[in-house]
Amino acid sequence: MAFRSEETRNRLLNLLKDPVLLLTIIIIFAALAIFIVYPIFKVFSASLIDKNGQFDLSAYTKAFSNRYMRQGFFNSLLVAGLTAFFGMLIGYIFAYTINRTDIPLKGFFRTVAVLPIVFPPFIGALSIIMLFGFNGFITAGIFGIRNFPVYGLWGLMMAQVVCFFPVAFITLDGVIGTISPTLEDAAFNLGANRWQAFRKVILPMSIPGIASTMLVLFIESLADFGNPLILAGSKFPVLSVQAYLQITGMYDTRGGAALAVWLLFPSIVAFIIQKYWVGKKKYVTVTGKPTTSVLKSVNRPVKWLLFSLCMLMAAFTLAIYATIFWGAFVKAWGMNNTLTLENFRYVFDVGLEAIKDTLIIAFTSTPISALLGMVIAFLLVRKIFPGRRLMEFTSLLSFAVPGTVIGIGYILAFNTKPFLLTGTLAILVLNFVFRYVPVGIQSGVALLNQVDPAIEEAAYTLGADNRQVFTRVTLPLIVPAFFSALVFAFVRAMTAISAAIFLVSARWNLITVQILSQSDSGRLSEACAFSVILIAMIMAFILVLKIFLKNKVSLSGSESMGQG
Amino acid sequence: MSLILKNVRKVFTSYSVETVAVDNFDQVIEKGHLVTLLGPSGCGKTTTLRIIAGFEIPTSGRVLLEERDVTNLPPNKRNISMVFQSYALFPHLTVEENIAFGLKLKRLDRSEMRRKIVEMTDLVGLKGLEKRRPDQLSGGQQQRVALARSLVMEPSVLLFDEPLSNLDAKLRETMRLEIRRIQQEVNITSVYVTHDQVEAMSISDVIVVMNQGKVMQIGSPFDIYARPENSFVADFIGRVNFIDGTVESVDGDTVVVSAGATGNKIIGKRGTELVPGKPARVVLRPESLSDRKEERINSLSGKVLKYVFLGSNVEYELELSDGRKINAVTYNPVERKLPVVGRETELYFSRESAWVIRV
Repeated sequence: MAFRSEETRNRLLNLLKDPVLLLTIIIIFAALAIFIVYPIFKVFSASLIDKNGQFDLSAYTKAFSNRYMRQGFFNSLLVAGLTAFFGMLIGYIFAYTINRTDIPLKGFFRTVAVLPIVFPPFIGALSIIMLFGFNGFITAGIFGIRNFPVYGLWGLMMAQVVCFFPVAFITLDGVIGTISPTLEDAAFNLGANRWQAFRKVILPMSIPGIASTMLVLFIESLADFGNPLILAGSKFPVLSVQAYLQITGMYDTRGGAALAVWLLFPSIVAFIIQKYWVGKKKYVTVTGKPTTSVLKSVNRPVKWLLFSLCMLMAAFTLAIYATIFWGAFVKAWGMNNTLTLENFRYVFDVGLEAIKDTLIIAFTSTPISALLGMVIAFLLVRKIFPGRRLMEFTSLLSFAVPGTVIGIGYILAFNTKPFLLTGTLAILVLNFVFRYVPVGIQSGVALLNQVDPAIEEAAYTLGADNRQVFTRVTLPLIVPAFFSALVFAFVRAMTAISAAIFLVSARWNLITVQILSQSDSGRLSEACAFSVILIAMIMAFILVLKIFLKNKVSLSGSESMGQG
Repeated sequence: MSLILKNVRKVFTSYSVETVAVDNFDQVIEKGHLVTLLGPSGCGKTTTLRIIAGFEIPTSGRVLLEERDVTNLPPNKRNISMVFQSYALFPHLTVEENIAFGLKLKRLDRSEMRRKIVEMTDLVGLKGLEKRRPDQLSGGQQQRVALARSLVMEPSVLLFDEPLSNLDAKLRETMRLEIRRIQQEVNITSVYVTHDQVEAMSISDVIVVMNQGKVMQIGSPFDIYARPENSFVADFIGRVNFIDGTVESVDGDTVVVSAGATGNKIIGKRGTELVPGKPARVVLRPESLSDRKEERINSLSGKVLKYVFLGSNVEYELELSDGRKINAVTYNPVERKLPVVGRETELYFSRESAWVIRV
C-alpha cells in the first residue's frame, strides 16, 4: 500500500499549494462549529450539568414529572403530525389538480399556493383570531358565536396548514409534473380505469415525494413558534413556547434547555430520515415531457370537485391575508370598524426603530448568507477534501434544528467571553446567516450539478486559481441560485421569530417581535399595520430584484451550459 | 524534451474495489510533436490526459514539464491548456471575452491583448464573430473558440480531450486538418486523446495505443498500422486477418510459419521475438491480398463466400479449405473484375505484408 500514501501525500501537497482554498475550508469549518454546533452543544451541556459542574439529570426528571410539560411534548408531536398530513394532502390536491386536469385559473392557483411563503408565518394565527376568535368577523360577526374553540389544537393546526402547505405544493408539483402522462396512457391501454390508474401508477410513484414532504412539514411545525405563541393558549401547551416561557418567564435556563432537547430530538430524527433514507429514493426520472398529451386523468365531476377544493383553499388563504390588510385600516377590530390611518401613525411612532433594525439586519445578513451558500455549494460539489460530508451535514443541520433550540443555544453560547455577543447586532446577523444558509446551499448544489465541470476546468487551465474560478465562472453561472437564495434569506430574515425572540434587545429589535407583542396585548389592528408594512417591504425587495435582474444578464443561459 | 511521464500510475478506489486506470505510463513527448493517446473507452487515455493537466493526482509516478516536476502543481500553475470534448466555453462571455479570459488573468496590457486576440481570431478563422456568445455559434465555431482560447496562452503543452467527437462526420474531417495545420504552424507540443483511429492516424506524429490502463504500443502511425507489436494493436487499428500457426524457422527477420491444418507455409516478416516450434500469428491486412501473383511469394486459396461492392473498392470474404475465413479488399473494381460467389480463388501476398508476431 506504499503507493496509497504517496497519493495522499501528493494530494496534501496540492492542497497546501493553494492556501486560499485551504483557508476557506478551515474558516467555514470553524464558523460552522462556532455558530451551529457549539450553540447546540451548549443546550445539551446546560441541561445536563448543574451549577457545580456535576452531571445531573434533574432538569429532565423535573420537566418530565410535570404533567403540563409532558403534555406539551405530546401536543407538539400531535400538531406536527396533523399539520404534516393535512398540509401534504392539500399540497397534493393542488399539485395534482394543476398538473393533471384542464381546469381554468391554473396561474391563479399556482400564485396562491406559493404566496404564503413570502409572508410572515404567524400572520395566519393573527388572522384566524380576527376571523374566528372572541370578536371574530366570521364567528361573532356573522354567526354570533363567541366561544368558537380557536385557541388550541384546531386553531393552531389551521394556521400552520395555511402557512406550510406551499412547501408541500412546491415539492409535489415537481414530483407529479415529472410523471409522464404516457404512463397513465399505458395503464388505460392495459385496461385500467381512471381510479386504478391513479391508485396503481401515480400514487405509488409519488410516495417518496409524499414521505419527504410530510417529514419536512413535521420539522417545520415542530419548530414553529409564532403561531403557537398566539394560538396555543394555556390549555394547550406546546414545547417551543414552553421552553421560551421557562426561560423568559421563570428564568429557568436549565429547564428551558431540557425542553429544547426534547424538541430537538424528533426534529433531528425526522431530518435524518428525510435526508438519508427518503431523500435517497429517487423520484421519477423521465427524460423530457411529451409535448402533446391530452389530459384525461379525471372525469368531469371529479375535475370540478378538485377545482372546488382548490378554490375553497385559495379563498381561505386569501381571506387570511385580506383580513390582515383590512385590520390594519380599522380603528379596533370587531368593535369599531371605522376606517383609519391611525394604526400606521402609531406604528411609525412606536415601531420606527424596529423597522430600521429589521432592515439593517436583513440587508446585512442576506448577502452574506447567499454568498456563503454558494461558496459551500461550490466546495461540496467541486472539491475533494477531508470532512466534506461533515461539512454538508453541519451546514444543512441548522434547517432541522428548531429556532427555539438555536435561540436558547445562542444566548447560552454567546453571553460570555470569548464570544460575548448578546444584545448586539452581530448575534442577530450571525444567527440569520447560519440559519438560512441551507437553502442557498441546496439550490447552488442543484444548479452546479447541471453545469459541465469542464467549464471550470477550462478556467483552471487558463491560469485561474480557485478564487478566480469561483468569482469569474462559477458564480456567474449559478446566478439564478444565488438570487433565489438571496430572496429566501431576505424573506426569512424579515419574518424570523423563533430564534430571534431570544436575541433581540432594547438596542436591536425586530418587527416580528413587535407584531407578537402587539397582538399579545390585544392591539390587533396595530399588529396588522406592522404586518402590512413588513409585507410591503418584502414585496418591494422582490420587485426591485426582479426589475434589476431583467435589465442585467439573462438568466436563461442554462441551455448553453453544456451537458451535466 | 518537453513533457515526460515517469512511471505514472493511477488507481481509483470505490467501495474498497481498486481499479487501475493507468498502469505505469512511461513516455517522453518531444517538443513540437503531436502525440495521440488512442484506445477504447475506459482504457485510461483520458485519465492520463487529466493527470498531465493536473486534474487528477497520480497514485505514483511523476510528471515533468520542461525539466520541472509539476506532479504537485495545481492545473492553473502548469502553463498547460486544454481543449475539451464539450468545448467548455464560458456561456456568459462573448467569443472575444472567452479568448481574453486567460490573458486578463495574466494582467496583460490592453494593446498587447488586443493584438493577440486579433492574431488568434485570424489564425483559427473566427473573424467577424468576436462579439457573439457561444450559444450563437455552430459546433465547429465553438471548437475554434476553444482552440483559440487555449492557444493564445502560448502554453508549453496543449491538451485535446476528444475535441471532435461532438461534431458531425464531415466537419470532423475538416476540423482535424485544421487542428493539425494550426498545431504545426505554431509548433506546439500537443497530447491528443481520441478513440477514433482514423483521426489518430491522420494527425499524429506519435500514437500511443492503450488498453485497460496499459500502453500497448508507441510508434508512428505507419509503425502502428504496419508493424503492430501485439494482436490488440493489430486488431484495434484498421481491419485485419489473423492466421495462427507454428514457427518453423527464423532467419534474421524472415520467418516461416506453417499455418495450422492446411499445412500451408507462409514466409513472413518477424515482428517480435519468435522461437521455432512455438505458436505464432500472421497479421495480414485485407488490402495486402491480391489476385495477381507478380512478385508475391505467399498464396491462399478458397471459395468466395460473399462480397460487398463499395464503389471505390470491393470487400469480399474467402473460406479456406480448413474452414477459416479471410477478408480481402480489391481497389478500383471498375477496371478489374468483380469476384464471383462460390468460385475457387487464389490470392497472393508478399513477405513484407505477412507480419508475424508472438501469440
